Amino acid sequence: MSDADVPTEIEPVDGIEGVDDPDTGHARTTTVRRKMSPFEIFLVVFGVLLVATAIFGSFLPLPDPTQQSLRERLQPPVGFGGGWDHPLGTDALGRDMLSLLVAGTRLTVLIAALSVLVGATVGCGLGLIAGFRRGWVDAVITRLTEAQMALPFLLLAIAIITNRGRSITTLVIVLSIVGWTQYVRIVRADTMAIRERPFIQGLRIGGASDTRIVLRHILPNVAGTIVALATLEVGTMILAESALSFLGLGVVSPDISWGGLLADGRDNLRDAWWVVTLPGLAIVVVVLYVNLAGDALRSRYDLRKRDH
Amino acid sequence: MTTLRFIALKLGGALLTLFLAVSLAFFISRLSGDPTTQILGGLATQDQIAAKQAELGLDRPLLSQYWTFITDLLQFDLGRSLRFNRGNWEVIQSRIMASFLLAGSAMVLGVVFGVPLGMYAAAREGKRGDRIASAIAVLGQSMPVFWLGMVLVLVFSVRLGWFPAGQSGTWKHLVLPAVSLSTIPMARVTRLTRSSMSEVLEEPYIAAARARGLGGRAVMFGHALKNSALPVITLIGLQAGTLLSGAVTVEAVFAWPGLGSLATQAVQFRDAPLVQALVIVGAVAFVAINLVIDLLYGLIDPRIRDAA
Amino acid sequence: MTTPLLEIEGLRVEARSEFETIRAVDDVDLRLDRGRVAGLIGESGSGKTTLVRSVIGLHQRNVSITGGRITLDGTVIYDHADGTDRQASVRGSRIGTVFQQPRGSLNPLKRVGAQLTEVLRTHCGDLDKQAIGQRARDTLARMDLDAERVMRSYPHQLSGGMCQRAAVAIAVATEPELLIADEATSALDVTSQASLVELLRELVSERSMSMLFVTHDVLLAAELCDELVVLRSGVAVERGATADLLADPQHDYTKNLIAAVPRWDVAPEEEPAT
Repeated sequence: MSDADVPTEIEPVDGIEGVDDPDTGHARTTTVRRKMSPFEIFLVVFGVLLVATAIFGSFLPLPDPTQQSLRERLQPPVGFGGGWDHPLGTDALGRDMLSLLVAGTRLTVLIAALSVLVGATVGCGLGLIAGFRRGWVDAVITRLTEAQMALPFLLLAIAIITNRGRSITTLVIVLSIVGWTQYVRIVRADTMAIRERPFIQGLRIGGASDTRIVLRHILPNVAGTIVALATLEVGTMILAESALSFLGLGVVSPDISWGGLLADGRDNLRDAWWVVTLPGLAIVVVVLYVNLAGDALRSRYDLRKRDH
Repeated sequence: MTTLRFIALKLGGALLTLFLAVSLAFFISRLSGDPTTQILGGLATQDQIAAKQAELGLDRPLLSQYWTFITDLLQFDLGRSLRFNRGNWEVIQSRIMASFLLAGSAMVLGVVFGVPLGMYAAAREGKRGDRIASAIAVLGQSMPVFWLGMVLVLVFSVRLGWFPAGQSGTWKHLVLPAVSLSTIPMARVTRLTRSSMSEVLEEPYIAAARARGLGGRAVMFGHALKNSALPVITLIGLQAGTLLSGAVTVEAVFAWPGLGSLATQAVQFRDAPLVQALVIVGAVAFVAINLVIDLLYGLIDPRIRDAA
Repeated sequence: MTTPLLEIEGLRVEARSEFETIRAVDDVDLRLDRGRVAGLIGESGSGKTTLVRSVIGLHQRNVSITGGRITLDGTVIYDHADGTDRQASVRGSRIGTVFQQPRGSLNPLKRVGAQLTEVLRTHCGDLDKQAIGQRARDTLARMDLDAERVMRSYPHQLSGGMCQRAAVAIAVATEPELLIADEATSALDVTSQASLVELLRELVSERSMSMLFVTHDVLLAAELCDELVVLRSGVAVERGATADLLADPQHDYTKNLIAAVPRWDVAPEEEPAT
C-alpha cells in the first residue's frame, strides 16, 4: 500500500449531530460573524493583569510586605478610619495589607498553576490511554480513578503532610494527587467517542501508529476540553491551597499566600475585620474569574457544554 | 432475581473500590515519607528513630507492613492513636456523629436550595432570572467555605449576636457552620440541575408531553424533574468526599467537635496512625454513600435495573 | 363550501441563530377538510416539522411565528395580527400528535400505562378512574397491542413498533378531530411501517378524524393521502389531489422528488460511458 492511500490529512472536524445541512435554501438574513464579546475581552485583560501582578508585583511602589511595625498594627483601611499610608490597613504585625495581598499573588498563582500542570499531564495521559486502549487497561485505570476519588482530599493531604512534613513541594504534590482524577474521566470519555469517528478508523486502516493517532489526531481534538477543565481546576487548586494554608499545613510565614494570610488574621477576627475579609475577597475574586473564564472557554470549545 | 443480582453487582464493585482506595491510601502515605522524623523532631538520635520505627512497625519491609495493615483492617482494627493513647476507632466514634450531623445538614440545605434554583434557571434559560441564579451558583463555587464561615461569624455573632460563634450543643450552634459548608453542594447542585434540566427539556418526550396537552407544571415536575434528577443524585454521592474535606476547615473555624477538628489535632501531634484511620473511615463513608446512591439509581431508573 | 377542519393562512415562521435568521416557513397556506388525509412532503430541512409544530404552538428555542392565521373548525386558534393564541387549549384534546422517534417520545422512567392515563385525566375530566383505565386498555387493544402488558411496561421493554403504536394510542385516546403524524413511520422497519400505515388509515375512517401526514417518503404519501402539499425551503411549491399531482407534477422540485423514488417496474438507465 503506497503512502498516497493513507488518509493522513483528513481534517478532524467536530460534527454537530442533529443539525441539518445549513444550506437547505431557506430565505435567510445573515448577521455579523462572531467576534470576541466585551466580556471575553475583559476576561483576557484581567488574566494578563493577574499574571503580571504575580510576576512583577514586587516591583510595584509599595511598602515592603515583610516590614513589621508594632506601632502601626491593625490599622483599618481608608474609609474605615485609616489613612493613605496603608490604603487597605495593616495586620497584627503592622504589615501593609495591600503589599501582603500583592505579594501573596505570586505563591497562590504559582502553586495552583504548577499543581494543575502536573495533575493535567498525569490525568490526560491516563485518560488517553484508557480511552484508546480500552479493555483491561481501561478497567484498571478506571478503578484506580474511582479509588482515588473515594479518598477525601483534605484527609489524604493531612496524611501525606503528617509523614513528610510541611513544605511547598509537598503542597504541590498533594494538590496534584487531588487533581488528576477529573481529567481521566473526561479525557477518557472524549477519547472513546473520537476513536470511533470515521477519520480515526481510516487512519488505523491506513496503518498509522497508535502513538501518532493519539498524539496527532486525538489529543488536538480533546485539547479544547482539557484547557477549559484545567482553567476550572486552577480555581479548585487555589481553594484547596487556601484550605491547607489556613490549617497551617500549606504556606506559612514568612512565605506569603492568601490562604496563609487568612490563617494569620484569624486570631484578630473580632477586632479587625479586614485582616480576614480582604485576603478572602482576593481569593473569591480570582477563583470567580477563573470559573467564569473556564465557563467561557467551555462554551467555545466543548460542544457538549457539560458541567464537569 | 434481577434485583438481587443488581444489588450483588453493586456491592461487589463497592468493596473492590474500597479495597483499592485503602491500599492507595496506605501506599501514598508510606511512600510520601517516614513519620518518625516528624514525630521526634530534627534533634532525635539514630537510636531513638530506630526505636520509634520499631514501635510503629515501620522497620519492616513495605509489603509485610501492607499485609499487617490489610489483615488488621479485615478484623476491624484501625490501630492505636499516639496522641490519645486509645484505639483509633474509639476516638473516631466519639466524633463521627457530629461530623455526620454537620455534613448531612449542609447537604440537605444544598439540595433544598440548589434544586429549585437550578430548575428556575433552566426554565428561564438565557433570561435574567437564569443569569442571576447562575451568578449565585458561580459565586458559591468560588468561595473558600471556611472564609465564608468567618465572615458569617463577624456578621451574625460579633455584630448581630444572633448565633454563637463556635462550639456545639443546640441547633443554634449548627446554623452558621452548616450554612457555610452548604455553599459547596448548593453551587454544584444548582449548576448541574440547571444543565441537566435544560438538556432534558430538549428531549423529544418533553415535546411529546407538551403536544399531548399537559400543562407546564405537569411537564416540569411530572416528567422533567425525575429525569434530570439522575445526574444530580450521582453528584450528591460524589460531593460526599468534598463535604468531608470542607468540613475539616469549617470545623476548625467553629471548633465543631467532629472528625475534621480531630484531623487537625492529629496532624499537630504527628499522630500518623490516627490520620490514617481517619482517611480509611472517610473512604468507607464515601463508598457506602455512593453504594446507596447506586442502588437508589436502580430504583428510579428501570433501564439500569434491567441492564444488570 | 363547508368549513374546513384546519385552515392555515399565510403562515411565516423564522428561526434565529447567532449568525442569521432563516425563514423556515414562508407564507404557506393549507386547507384540510374533515375526514381527509393531507400529506406534507419535502426533503429533510424543508420546514415540514416546523410547520406542523406551529399548528400546535410548540417550537424549539429561537423559533417563532412571525405571521399568519390558523383556524380549527371555524375557531381561530392563532392569529399573529391580533395576538390570538389558543393553541395550548387544543393540544392533546382536539389535535393529537405522533412524532418520529418511537421510543424518544415516551418518558423512559414512566410506565406506558401511566403516561396514557395521565393524558386522559388531563383532557377527559368527566371520566372516573375506572373509565379512564378502561378507555386506556381499549385504545391500546385497538392498536393490536397486548393492553395489560403494555400498560405495565416501561418504554425500553417494548419494541420500536410497539412504542410507536402506544404513542398513537396516547394521541387518539382523547378522540381528537385532527391527528398530526410527523414522520411517524419513518424510523420503523418496513413491516412495522406497513402495518402502522394501515392502522392509521383505519383509525381515520372509523373515527372520522382528519390527518396531517408529514413525510419525506413520496411513495408512502401516495399510498395514504388524499391530497399533497410539496414544501421546499419553507415555501409550498405545489399542491393538489394526490393522483393528479403525481401524474403530472408541474414544479421541477416535485419532479425530482418523484424521480428519486426507486421503481421496480422500470430497469435503471444505463450509465453513459465515459
